[in-house]
Amino acid sequence: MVTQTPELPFTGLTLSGVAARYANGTEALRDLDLTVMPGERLVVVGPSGAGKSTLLRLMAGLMAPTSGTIRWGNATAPRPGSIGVVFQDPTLLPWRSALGNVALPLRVRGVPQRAAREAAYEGLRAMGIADFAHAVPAELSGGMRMRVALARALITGPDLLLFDEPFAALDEITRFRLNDDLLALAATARVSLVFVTHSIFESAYLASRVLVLSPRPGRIVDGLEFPPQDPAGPSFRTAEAFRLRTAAISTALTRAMGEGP
Amino acid sequence: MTRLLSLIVPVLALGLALLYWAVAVQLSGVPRYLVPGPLDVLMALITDAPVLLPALAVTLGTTLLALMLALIGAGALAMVLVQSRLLERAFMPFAIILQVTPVVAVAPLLLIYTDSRTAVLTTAFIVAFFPILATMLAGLRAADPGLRDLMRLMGASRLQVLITLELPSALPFALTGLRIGGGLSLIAAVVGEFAAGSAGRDAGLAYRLLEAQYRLNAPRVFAALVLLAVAGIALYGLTSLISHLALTRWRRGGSPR
Repeated sequence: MVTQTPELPFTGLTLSGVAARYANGTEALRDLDLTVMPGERLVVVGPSGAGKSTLLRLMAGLMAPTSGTIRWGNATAPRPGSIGVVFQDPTLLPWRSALGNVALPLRVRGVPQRAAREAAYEGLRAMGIADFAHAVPAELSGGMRMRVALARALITGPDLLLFDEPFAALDEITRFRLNDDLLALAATARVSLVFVTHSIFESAYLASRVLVLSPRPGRIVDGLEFPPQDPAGPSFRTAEAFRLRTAAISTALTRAMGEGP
Repeated sequence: MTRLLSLIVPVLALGLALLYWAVAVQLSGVPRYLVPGPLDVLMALITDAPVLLPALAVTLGTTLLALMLALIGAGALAMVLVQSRLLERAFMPFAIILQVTPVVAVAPLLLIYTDSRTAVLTTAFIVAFFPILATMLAGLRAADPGLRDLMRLMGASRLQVLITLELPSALPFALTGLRIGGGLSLIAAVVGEFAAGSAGRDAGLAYRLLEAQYRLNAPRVFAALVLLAVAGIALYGLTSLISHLALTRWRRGGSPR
């Protein structure tokens, strides 16, 4: 089994001088210095091919940087279960029920079947889809599948949740609802979010900080810090502050597009 | 209405073909012992049943046993090979040689070393083995890369990934391999029996067919052929049924086929 390092409080994720180059020579990221603070909601925007997904893979520890270092708290590798990832595709096991999918991370760690399923049921309830616990993914709508993926990402109590354009394929109403749920969750679960999106509106709504990447090879060309939503919740979408945020992000993004390699 | 029609039309076509066969034999005046009509074949099936049915059981038994052994063997080997790219590379030349060679040709060789029953079984086994191995390998690798990443993040062991992700992903592939392997192993069993030519209690259907041909017993040759066709249909039906049962869970949710 996996030997677990003693659990220390999450002190943030730090990337120092990180560059990533693929075997085929494509330079995805260059000179990245970045710290994800505990509890912050970092949204990464940038043009297509700016290396946003690569950045998430590096943060998840799924690939090693070509140069530079990454530290998860004080460790050089993430503790299993300390990072939850949600991709654009819900990536569920199609032959397992929603319950079985959510229980999987616990089962992998050797949690007994019964306890894992009980925890998974609670997770599904928190996502508002307990009624569909025994449905297989094919029986669920896109939004519900995404909720199952979210419940699975949360079940190990991660310090850090990584999102790779998770709601891009969903309709706008479902996306708005999931955004609200995500904010509620981030407020209660004390988890850091890193969220990659193409949507300026989504980034303005979710972020406590927005990072703007340049076209490939991706570099950080702008960072925008935002105060808490006022008013908080769905009505923020129609507030003047929200409009100003989208304008600021939009301007930063336009500037970033001009930053060639 | 169209449903009924789509059921009736093939039956009708088969009936017409049989009728044409009967009439053509009747009108042409070809001797019955050379080209029997469908009724003669039916008569041969009934009168020769004591000879042909045990032979059918032997051939089908050999085929099914070979198929089962191939499924177990190829499945196990695929699980080993998929663990290491290098191992798989090392195995490649054998796989390619055995893939491009009409492997049934090993039957005469096997007969030098073993008794005929074992030789036929081994031939059918080898022939079914490679399609199943190839589809299993493809299946084990077909697992969603996103799910692989997730399992890595969960800290899953190699064995956990195999059991939880790769084996279930490989299931539809394995079943396709089983269907292909089933048809091929029947062919291999027939060829093996031709080569082995064993008489007596162990005689399979293909041997009985060959024997009837030597004796110019055309109706019995036809009857044996009909039974081989029945064996093929039974085998296909069985493997399809297994597929259907095994994949029920995958199809739940009624995604259109």
